[in-house]
Amino acid sequence: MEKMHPLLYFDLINNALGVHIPIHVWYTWMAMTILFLCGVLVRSRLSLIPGGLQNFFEIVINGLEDFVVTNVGEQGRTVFPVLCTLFVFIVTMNYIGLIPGCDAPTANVNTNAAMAVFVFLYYNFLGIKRWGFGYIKHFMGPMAALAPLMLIIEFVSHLSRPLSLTLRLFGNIKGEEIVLMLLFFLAPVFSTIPMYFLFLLAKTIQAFIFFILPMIYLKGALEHAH
Amino acid sequence: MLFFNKQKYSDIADLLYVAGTIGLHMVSGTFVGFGLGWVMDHYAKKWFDWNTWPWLTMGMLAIGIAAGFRNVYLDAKRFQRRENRDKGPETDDSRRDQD
Repeated sequence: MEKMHPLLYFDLINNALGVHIPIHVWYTWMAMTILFLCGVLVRSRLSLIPGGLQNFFEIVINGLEDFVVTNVGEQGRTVFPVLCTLFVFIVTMNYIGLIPGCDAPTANVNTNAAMAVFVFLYYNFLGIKRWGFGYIKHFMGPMAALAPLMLIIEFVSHLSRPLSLTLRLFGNIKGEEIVLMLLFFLAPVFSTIPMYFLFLLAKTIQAFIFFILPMIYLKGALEHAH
Repeated sequence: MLFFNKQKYSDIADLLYVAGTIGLHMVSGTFVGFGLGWVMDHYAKKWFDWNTWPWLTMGMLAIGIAAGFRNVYLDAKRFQRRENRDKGPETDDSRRDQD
């Protein structure tokens, strides 16, 4: 599908430099650069009365923190930085796909798989750190008689979490990119402008889902087993 | 939800969230079960020379389907709880605006 793109900026850079860095890596670096720049800009002029960019980031991050604390409880504050980073990073990468000449890095399975595997390792690590060997109780279900069966089922169900996280984000974002491309072939600009508004909403929601589900997994790992 | 002040957008976002999560949770359990079973069969043959094909794959596939249904069951329980909380007596629109 990348062949169908009329122009990708980083293809040109790859050609000019004579390197073969994959496109999604270039655009991930672009998202990181944007976020670092925003961080430096906001940090350089912090003020008590927030204005402009600082105001915007305070609204977003405060809203997310309140959401996490109401859902996970006070201990959610310790895991909040990771969740907030996931959301902001993914939403930036999703929006990059809307810029003409750019491709969303999340439209590639590798980016999403890396993040999903990280989430999987992170919540299991926190669960083991919090409960020690007793973490296995989270896998055994409520009834003692069914514990051996539930152990296998829960094991499969936990392994399926990174898979579903990866495929959901990949499928949605890739699908949106393809729809935009096809509509652009059919009726340039005229048909794509309304779709931009729809996809702006859809991409935010996809990033939000990638933020909510790890939050639910972390909650499950941190709270008592059943 | 969070960034949407208008009730209309919040409802749409809730619906999209439900539709986006629940289907894939069921399917992914099945796939992981099948994949694990296939890998177990493969290595049982390779390392121990046991001819288990296709029994481990089928058994793990059944367990994977069970895990998928369990995922959907847990999701449904969670959505139900949230619906009840949103409709509850102490949680009216003013409460929702705070979220």
